[in-house]
Amino acid sequence: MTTAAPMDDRKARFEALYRETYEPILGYVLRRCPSADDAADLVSEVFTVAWRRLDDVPTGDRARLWLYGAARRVVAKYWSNEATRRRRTASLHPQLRDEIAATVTDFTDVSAIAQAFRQLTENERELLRLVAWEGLDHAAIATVLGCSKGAVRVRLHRARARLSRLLHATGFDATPVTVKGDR
Amino acid sequence: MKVHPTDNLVRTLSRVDDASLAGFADRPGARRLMDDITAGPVPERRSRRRLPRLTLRIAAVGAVAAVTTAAVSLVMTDDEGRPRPAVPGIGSVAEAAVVLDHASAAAKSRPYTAPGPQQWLYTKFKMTAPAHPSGIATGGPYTTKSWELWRRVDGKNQYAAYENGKLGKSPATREAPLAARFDPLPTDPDALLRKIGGGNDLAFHTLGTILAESLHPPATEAAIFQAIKLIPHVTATAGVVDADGRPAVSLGLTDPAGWLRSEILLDPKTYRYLGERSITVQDHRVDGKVTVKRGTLQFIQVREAVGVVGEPGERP
Repeated sequence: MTTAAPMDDRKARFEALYRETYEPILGYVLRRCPSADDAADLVSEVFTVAWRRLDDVPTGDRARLWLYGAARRVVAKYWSNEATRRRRTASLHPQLRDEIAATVTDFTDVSAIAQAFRQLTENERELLRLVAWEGLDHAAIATVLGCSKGAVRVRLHRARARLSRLLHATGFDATPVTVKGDR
Repeated sequence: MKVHPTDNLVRTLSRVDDASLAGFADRPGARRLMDDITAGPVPERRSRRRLPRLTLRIAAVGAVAAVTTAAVSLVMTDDEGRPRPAVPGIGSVAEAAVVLDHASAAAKSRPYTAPGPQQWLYTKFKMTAPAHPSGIATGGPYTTKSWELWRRVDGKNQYAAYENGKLGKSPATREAPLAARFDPLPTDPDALLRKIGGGNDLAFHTLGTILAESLHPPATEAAIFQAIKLIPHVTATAGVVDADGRPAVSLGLTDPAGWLRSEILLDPKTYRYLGERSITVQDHRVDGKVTVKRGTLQFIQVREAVGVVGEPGERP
């Protein structure tokens, strides 16, 4: 055994991070990007950012939150100016694309829930997704979004209330599954 | 944090559940991505406002042993081997039909021995892709990387590959890689196309992967070529293209806007799978800012070797 060079340390740390967070980050991206080609490139981009900025990545579970934050920026960029340029483009990671292709379905959800959800602002939607899809709490969301816990609490309350109102407006009862009467 | 009733509704909008992705980090594509990323340069600490990372990557490429910079050869040659303009043609559907009929005939007359239950399939691929890892490539720098992979062929879905000079084996998983997910492959082209999800551009890529990652019995390989023939808009070029030093016939799908072509490359004599490539066939303006010149390579993957062996680590 030779003495571990800094490069090896760095690589080992990244590999541990990658193993730990690859699946939640892949999930985050696949839930927000319907194309396997694009998702493969986006996942690659998120982890390339992490490799480049490994010194900035916190340890423990906060690493996952840091990566959610990075993924959020990568996906947001994709949906804004890069959407047109990337769609219908073969992935640069064909093997990864194939690996994840079966997990994604490109469909338009026409349910009342989806329609109401679409009427929210992107910030509101992302807040609700982080709760329902990633299962994050106020503190975790505050870390991902880089804002205070209090701000998350207020904005989340508003977003949920707006979604409830929109659902009622479409004749949909927002409480089909009552959770201890909490509404 | 209390659960709000709308949370459960929002949850129903989710396409993918994290639980269904368990084990994905150990799959070859995921592991390769990790290797690709860590093969890149270690950035120095510096302020956020700095040179674009493209330049950084070029600087460090030479330092990584596994990666070599490559002047990518995109010279096309005619039948006599004389170079032709570098811009690839799109060809026609009629030409594709001829190529694919020849390919299925060649496949049917190929000698084939079915691998035994303890055997492994060896593949060696070489990929040239932009050093800058995502988005549309507007040109160089490119990096070339090759890798060897052993895959168990008895349905156990186990892989072996060299990592840092040591041969490592993945745990056997229940989930199959794409190439094996549709096994057994129907020998009827229509049934095959149905099984892999219908005649769209994803099916074209899927069939490319199925050709790339396995060796098939003659009737199956012939059916794969006939299934490609059934996918609308697949064209072939009359000319022979250079697949990294080897002549190739290209079958391709051009995107609806007509500027980007994804190709499967076949050996012009044996019609064996040679590789895959993505290349621009028209100048294209991206976001009204950058123009990608036609003939710009996005990536090229060449299968350098394939064969059935007894043990991981063995080469045919």
